[in-house]
Amino acid sequence: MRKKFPFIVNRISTEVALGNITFEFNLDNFSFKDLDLNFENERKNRNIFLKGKSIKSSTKLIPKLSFVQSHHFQEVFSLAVEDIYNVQIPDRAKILRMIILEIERISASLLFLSAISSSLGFHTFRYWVLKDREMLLSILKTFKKDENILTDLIVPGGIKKTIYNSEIERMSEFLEKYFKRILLDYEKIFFKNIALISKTRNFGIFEKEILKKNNATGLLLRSCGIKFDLRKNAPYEMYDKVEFPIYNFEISDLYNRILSLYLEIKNSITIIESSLKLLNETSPEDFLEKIDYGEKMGKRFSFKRIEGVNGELSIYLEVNDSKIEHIKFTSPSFINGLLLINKLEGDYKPFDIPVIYSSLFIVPMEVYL
Amino acid sequence: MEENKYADSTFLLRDIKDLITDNISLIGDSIYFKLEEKKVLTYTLNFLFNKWNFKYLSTIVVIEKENGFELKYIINSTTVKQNVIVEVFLGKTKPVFTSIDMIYPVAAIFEKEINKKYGIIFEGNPETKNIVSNYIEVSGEDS
Repeated sequence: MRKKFPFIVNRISTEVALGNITFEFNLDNFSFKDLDLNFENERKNRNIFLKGKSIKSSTKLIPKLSFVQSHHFQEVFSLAVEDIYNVQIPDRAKILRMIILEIERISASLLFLSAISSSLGFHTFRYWVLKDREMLLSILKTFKKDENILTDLIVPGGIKKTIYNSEIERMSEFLEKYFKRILLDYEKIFFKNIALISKTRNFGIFEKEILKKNNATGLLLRSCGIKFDLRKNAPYEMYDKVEFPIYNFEISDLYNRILSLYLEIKNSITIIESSLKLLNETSPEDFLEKIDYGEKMGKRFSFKRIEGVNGELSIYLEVNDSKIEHIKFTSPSFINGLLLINKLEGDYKPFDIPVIYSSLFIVPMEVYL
Repeated sequence: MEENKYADSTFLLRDIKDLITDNISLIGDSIYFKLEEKKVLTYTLNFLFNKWNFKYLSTIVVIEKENGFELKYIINSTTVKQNVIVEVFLGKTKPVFTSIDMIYPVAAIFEKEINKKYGIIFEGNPETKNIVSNYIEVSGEDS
């Protein structure tokens, strides 16, 4: 008998599918045999929407690619455009970009902490971090001078609007007087909590060799004892002018991955503080270098990578005059979600998976870009 | 501040010129070259992986042209600052190429995506399928 090829599969509304993941796994006596995170409903190839568009109009669309690290997407895109047009941006713009990126890194780390703490049953802590994240985001909102979080602030050439020293000082006051203190409370209630340590120590371990072999980057790489940070090893903007330590651990278990988020937040605060000192030496008027998009450039391409909030975020950008011919973002969520999660060795139950999944810092909408 | 351990890439450029190709261009932070023979790709990547520590495959970019596909392999090292972009061309008449997942395990998922999007088959990677033969098998036309 002839079977019909299932050519038309039930098509799910794209709006509903935004950020959906299905967990598919085989069980053997309630333990995992294999696990497959299915992002098929999420598969949208967002890069396609940007093809053929001009760089100027794409700049407005880039931040919408991710709600967790929209500024990092703007940053890597801007770096690639500046490379293609051979533009040197002012020092003030570089420093302000660093401050914006580090604020976003803190807010993203808080978001990851909220997901992990919720899967572990620490609901009070979850509400704390979400509340503090809102406060941080409201600072970013004041920089943008409008209500929308996903508007473009980092643009090719520098910063869209200047941020005055008084605004920065207000933020620094918030970090100094509120945030640093609340971090001490975080330590007491969560990071040094014996319940957390007993639940997460020596659990969800990734071997160092496996992480190295399978392209782990960023937090994951540092959580297993490899000191590699693009901000330090291949510095962009003015990261070579600020000092911050690269932490590392012996093994990448769940506890160390959680603790690495905390250390990331501390590092970001250090970077912001150092950047503020640098900022006082620059002029507030010098924040944007205008790029001439009418210039006939012909075909050119650029590849750039930065340290995103969850690992290495890269872009391949090819332009013809001022139109985008080809664009491809690669986010660490693609590698962590499709490859690394299957490299986990050991006996794990279905209820263990959400927390291990959260500790890999996967952002669903970034998997298929 | 800790010392930046990235090595000088002058010797890398000389090595590529001596062993692979003369046509190298420097584009931003990237060393870019095109391979005339696609067979040389595995050798090239193996050489860069083992000698120059290019152990990290950032991405594989595919650009569709009228008569074929341009495949760009972008690799990174922990000891050399520059990225290396290796380009090969694949004709549309026979879009079959060799898989590099023996060198870079992560290539398996990149190749799977490329297979779904452009139909290129990567020999040696079981995840990439020939869409036409798969259709025949499911529909039972071959029996």
